[in-house]
Amino acid sequence: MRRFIIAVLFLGVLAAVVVYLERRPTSKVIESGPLKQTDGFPRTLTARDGSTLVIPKKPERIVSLTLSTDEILLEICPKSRIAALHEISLNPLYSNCVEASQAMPVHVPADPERVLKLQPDLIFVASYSRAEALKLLAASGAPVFKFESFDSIEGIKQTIREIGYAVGEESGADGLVKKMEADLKQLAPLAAEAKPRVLAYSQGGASAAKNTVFDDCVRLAGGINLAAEKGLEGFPTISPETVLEWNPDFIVVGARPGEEAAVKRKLLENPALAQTKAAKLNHIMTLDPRIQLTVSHHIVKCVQALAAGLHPTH
Amino acid sequence: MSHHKWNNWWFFGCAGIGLALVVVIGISVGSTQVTPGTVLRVLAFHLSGGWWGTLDGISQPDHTIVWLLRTPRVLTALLVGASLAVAGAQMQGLFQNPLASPDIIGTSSGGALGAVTAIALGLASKSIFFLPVLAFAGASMCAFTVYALATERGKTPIATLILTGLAVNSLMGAATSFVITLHSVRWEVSSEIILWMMGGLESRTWDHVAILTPCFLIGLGLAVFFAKDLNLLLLNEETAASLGVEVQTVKQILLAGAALLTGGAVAVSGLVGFVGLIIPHVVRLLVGPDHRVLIPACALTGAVFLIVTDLFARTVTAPTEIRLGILTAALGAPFFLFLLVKQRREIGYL
Repeated sequence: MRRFIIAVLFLGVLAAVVVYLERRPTSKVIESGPLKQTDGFPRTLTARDGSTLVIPKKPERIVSLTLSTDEILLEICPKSRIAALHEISLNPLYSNCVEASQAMPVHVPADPERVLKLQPDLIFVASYSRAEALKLLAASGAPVFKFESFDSIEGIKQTIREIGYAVGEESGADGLVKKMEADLKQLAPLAAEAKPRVLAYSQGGASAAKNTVFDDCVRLAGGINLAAEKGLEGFPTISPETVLEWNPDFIVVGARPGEEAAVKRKLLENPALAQTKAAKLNHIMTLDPRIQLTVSHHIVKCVQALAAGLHPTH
Repeated sequence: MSHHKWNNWWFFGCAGIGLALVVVIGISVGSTQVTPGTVLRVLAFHLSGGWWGTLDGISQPDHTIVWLLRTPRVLTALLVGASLAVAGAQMQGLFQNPLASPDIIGTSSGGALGAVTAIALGLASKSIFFLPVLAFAGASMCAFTVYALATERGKTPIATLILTGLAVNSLMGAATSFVITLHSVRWEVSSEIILWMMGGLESRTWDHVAILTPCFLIGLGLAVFFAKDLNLLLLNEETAASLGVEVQTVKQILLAGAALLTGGAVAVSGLVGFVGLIIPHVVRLLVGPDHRVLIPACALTGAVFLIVTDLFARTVTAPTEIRLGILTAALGAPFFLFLLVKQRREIGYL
C-alpha cells in the first residue's frame, strides 16, 4: 500500500512538473491555420490553438527544411529569395524538383547550426520535427512554420496558398493551385464511368484508407478506395488473406523506376495475393513513390497516373 | 601524504583539467566554423554573468550557435556520461558483479518505451518536455516495478533482482516493439524512433540540461553519501549488517539513486550503452575500489569520455553524424567480451 501511494505521489509530482514547464513561454513556432488576410507586411498567421505569429517583413532569406515546401517554393517564389533548400530535394529517389534544386546554391540538412548561419528570416519545417530542434531554429529570430501532415488534396492546395501568403507570393500560389485544378478537371469525365475497386498495398502489407491523400487520388482518378470503403482510416496493415477476401480490381504498389517488374513479382509470390482478381487480370499497378508519397502540387501526377491505369481507354 | 592519496590527487587534478579542456574543445567544434576566440569570448561573457568581456563584434548566429546550441550539447554529454558512469559503479558494487550495468533494473528499456510512446503519439513534436518526461517516467516505473517484484518480506535478493530485471526488460522490449510496429507505416515516426534508440545529443537545449542537472546532483549526492556503506556491502550483506549498515535501506536508496541517474540520462540522450560498464572498470584500475574515491572519479571520467565520444560522433563523418550509441557500443562491446573472458578464466571455465 505504501509503495502504491509513493508511486501515485511520484507520478503526481511528475505531472505537476510537466504542467508547470508547459506554462513557460513557448518558442515562436506556429502550425498552419486559418489565414488573416492583410495587404503587405507585417502579416499575421494564426495557429490552431489561437496563438499568432507575425512575419514582420517580406522574407528575403527563406530556408525550407521539408521536401514539399522545397517543391512548392521553387514553383512560386523567386529563387533569389530562397536562402537554402533541404538536401533531400537533390535526391532523385524522393524529389520531384531535382533539376530546379540543383540550380540553387545552398542545400542543408535539418541541422540548426547550419540553418542559423544562413541568417534566415523565415523557416519552413516538417510536422514531425522534434520540439527541441524547433526551439533552436526559433533562436534565430525567424518565424518558424511547422506544417501539419497533409491528408487531402484540398489540404495540399490550402498549404500552397498559406506558403504563398507567408512569402508574399499569393498570385504565384494562386496560379499553381489553379493549374492543379485545371489538370484535375480534365479527369472529371471519369466520374461517369464504372469505378474499379482499388487497394493500395505496400510490401509490408500497409494500405491507405480514409483521410489520406491516396484516398482523394483514387476518387479523382475515377476509382473506389477499397480500404476506405471497408471503413478503415489512415494506414492500416491488411493481411493477404483479407486482400483475397476483398478481391480488389486493382492493387497499387509503390515501385522505383526500373524496379516495377521485380516489385510485382515479389507481390505475386504471396499465394493469396496471386489469387485476387487484380492479379489474374494483370491489374497490379506500380506508382513511382515520388508522386505517390508527395504532398506538393506534384500529387496531380499521381492522380493522372492512377487515372491512366484504371481507365486505359479514356 | 600516502602514495595512494597522492595518486588520487594527481588523478583528480588531471581529470579536472582534462574535463575543462574537452568542454572548450567540444564547444569549439561543430558543423560550421566559429573561431576559438569567439567561443572563448562568449563563454567568458556568460559564465561571468556579463561582467567579463563583451559580445561586441560577435554575430548573432555565432553567439546563438555557441551559447544555445553547442554549450548545452556539451553540458548534456558531460551530465549523461557522469550519470551513467556513477550509476554503473553503484550497480557493480551493489550486485558485486563486474558485468553489471545500469540497465539491469530495467531503466533503459522502460525509458525507451516512454520515449517511443512520446514520439509515436506525436508528443515529441509538440513540446520539448514530453519526451524526456515520459522517458523518465518509464524508466522510473520500470525500476520501481523490478524492485517491487524482487522484494519479498522486506528483503531483495540480488539474484532475484537480476532475474526480475531480465524479465521486465524483455517485457518492455516487447512493448516497445509493439508501439513501433503500430506506427511502422509512417516512415518519419519510424526513423525518429530508430534514431532515438541509437542514442544522440543533437539539438540538446538548456531545457535538457535543466532536466538532467537535478537528477544528476541528487543521484551523485546519494552515491557519495552512501559510498562508505557500499564499500561495506562489497564484503557481504551479513558482514555489512554486523558493522551497522542498514542493508535493505541502503540497497533501496542506492537502487533509487542509480535509477534516477540512468532515467535522467536516458530521458535526454536516448539509449547510450556501455558507459556504465566500461568507465568504472577503467577508473578502478587508476584509483582503486574505494567507492568514496571511485564514485566522483567515475563522474569525472564518464563526463570526459562521453564529451570526447560525442565529438568523434559529429566530426568523423562530418557533415553527417554517427549515432552516439553506435560509438559507445563499438567501444564497449569488445571491452565487455574482454571482461567476460577474463572472468571465466578467473573462475576456471577456460
